[in-house]
Amino acid sequence: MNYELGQGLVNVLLLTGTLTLVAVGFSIVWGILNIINIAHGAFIMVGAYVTYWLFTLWGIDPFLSIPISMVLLFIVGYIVQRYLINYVIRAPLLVTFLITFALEIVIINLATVFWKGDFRSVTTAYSGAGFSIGEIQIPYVRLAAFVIALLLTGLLHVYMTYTKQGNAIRATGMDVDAARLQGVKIAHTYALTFALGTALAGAAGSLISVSFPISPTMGGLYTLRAFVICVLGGLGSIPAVIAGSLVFAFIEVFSGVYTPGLKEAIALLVMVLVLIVRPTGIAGKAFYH
Amino acid sequence: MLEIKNLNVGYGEVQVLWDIDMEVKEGEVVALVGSNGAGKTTLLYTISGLLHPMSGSIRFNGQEIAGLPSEEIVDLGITQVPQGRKLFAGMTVKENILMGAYHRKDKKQIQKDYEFVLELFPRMAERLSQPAGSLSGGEQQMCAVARGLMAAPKLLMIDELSLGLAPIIVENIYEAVSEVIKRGTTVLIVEQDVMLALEQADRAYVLDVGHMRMSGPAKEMMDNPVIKEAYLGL
Ligand SMILES: Nc1ncnc2c1ncn2[C@@H]1O[C@H](COP(=O)(O)OP(=O)(O)OP(=O)(O)O)[C@@H](O)[C@H]1O
Ligand SMILES: [Mg+2]
Repeated sequence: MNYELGQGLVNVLLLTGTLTLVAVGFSIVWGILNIINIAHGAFIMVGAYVTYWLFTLWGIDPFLSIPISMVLLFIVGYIVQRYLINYVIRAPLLVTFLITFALEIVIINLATVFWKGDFRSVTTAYSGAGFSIGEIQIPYVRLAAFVIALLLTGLLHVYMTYTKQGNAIRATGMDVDAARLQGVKIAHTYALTFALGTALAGAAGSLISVSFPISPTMGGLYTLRAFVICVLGGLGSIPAVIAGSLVFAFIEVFSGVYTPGLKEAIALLVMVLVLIVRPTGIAGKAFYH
Repeated sequence: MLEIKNLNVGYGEVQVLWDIDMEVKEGEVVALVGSNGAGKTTLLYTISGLLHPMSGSIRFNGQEIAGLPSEEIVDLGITQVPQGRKLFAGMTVKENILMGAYHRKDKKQIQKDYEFVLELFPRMAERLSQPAGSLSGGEQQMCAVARGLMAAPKLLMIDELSLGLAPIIVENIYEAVSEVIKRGTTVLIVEQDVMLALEQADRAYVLDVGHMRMSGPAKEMMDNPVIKEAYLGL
């Protein structure tokens, strides 16, 4: 096999894992709560810094800090939804859009004040290590990130499909009033959904910090990616997120090889094309199952 | 069991129900009838806590429930099979039915009720893993009633069960409902099809553009000349 193509396909696969984790939290919040969470990338950034500081200050292994950043961001997300966004949840999409936009700016400002604007990175003893199959290089950290991302996505799927709370979340997304008639506590369920979204953002941030430099403004790009992935794949199911991530990773990797400066532009162009040809996204409309 | 007094309800500024009085006694089957837009669904939504009244009282077994959150009202034993069925379209039939038991914790009894419900609606047993959105209208209504029964309600309210369904299916589902009534569940039936409702019920109320116009034993209502003219087209 052509080396460049082989390495490219491996990179696509590895990137798909990370992107899935980046987008899946964004997707459930959009699909269930009908909120386009502009602050999603900012939560990813916070997750990355949690891992960075735990590693830098106490030497905690970045992969071990994933649960910590998830729990922290879960709590933050729960509070934000329960005591802020819930008050305007029945308002038009634009209102929640603006609130999360403001939230993003606040989070980035605070991060810049407390952590400075510099780029930082998490460099462990095993950071540069990897193995190769033929000429194809696979760094350990990227592979681990891939496995963990898919594992967490799988866990989310199990949670949504087989647990009572997960079913309540899906039911709420399909028909709020019908869910209330079954005794679902809506304020709590909304908060839980948003908290899941931010917890997954936190995990994504932790994973990103081991492979890429981080900074307070790193999140915007991830929000954009999550948005494009949701449009590409279609809203409302985990397989749709994976499909969208795969397509996005493909575009990003190969346009990165052949037309480096135009990665984002090409991804957005493909998004527009998909919107025209298939407005429901590649996977079509479904609800979380 | 359920006592409604001087209830006023509206959407924002627009009042829809005026000074409603109504009572449902334990073990009774009560029909609430009225034409299009009379406010029947609004009344049921208010009882279930999806809407909060402007004023007035709703008592359930002596407890004031007007304005309580919906989940507490479900816990007290009031469930409704809503108009338009409102199934969770992307969830399977089984998931929909089990959502009815969402507020319950008595696992063993839930399992028993589940088996009972599937006996009552054998068609549901054949379609457990199918998405509810892919069912026919009649099957969707069965699924909605099954979901309602899984709540093990003390008071079951059914809104426009017959709407858009073939008479044979409607009869079939009402047979299942009468099985539930035999087991002691109190039922409030809301129908536009007045004759159908009166046939099922012990007593009936007539709601007319937001006002309670009449009430009495269902048998007498069938012979009432006003009802005959206005609702039965006789
Ligand atoms: N969400 C709403 N906002 C504003 N007005 C509403 C709303 N829902 C219902 N209404 C109005 O309230 C009145 C009563 O409606 P409701 O649905 O309770 O009547 P109904 O007796 O159930 O009618 P139907 O037999 O058609 O179901 C109608 O005039 C309707 O237009
Ligand atoms: Mg109605």
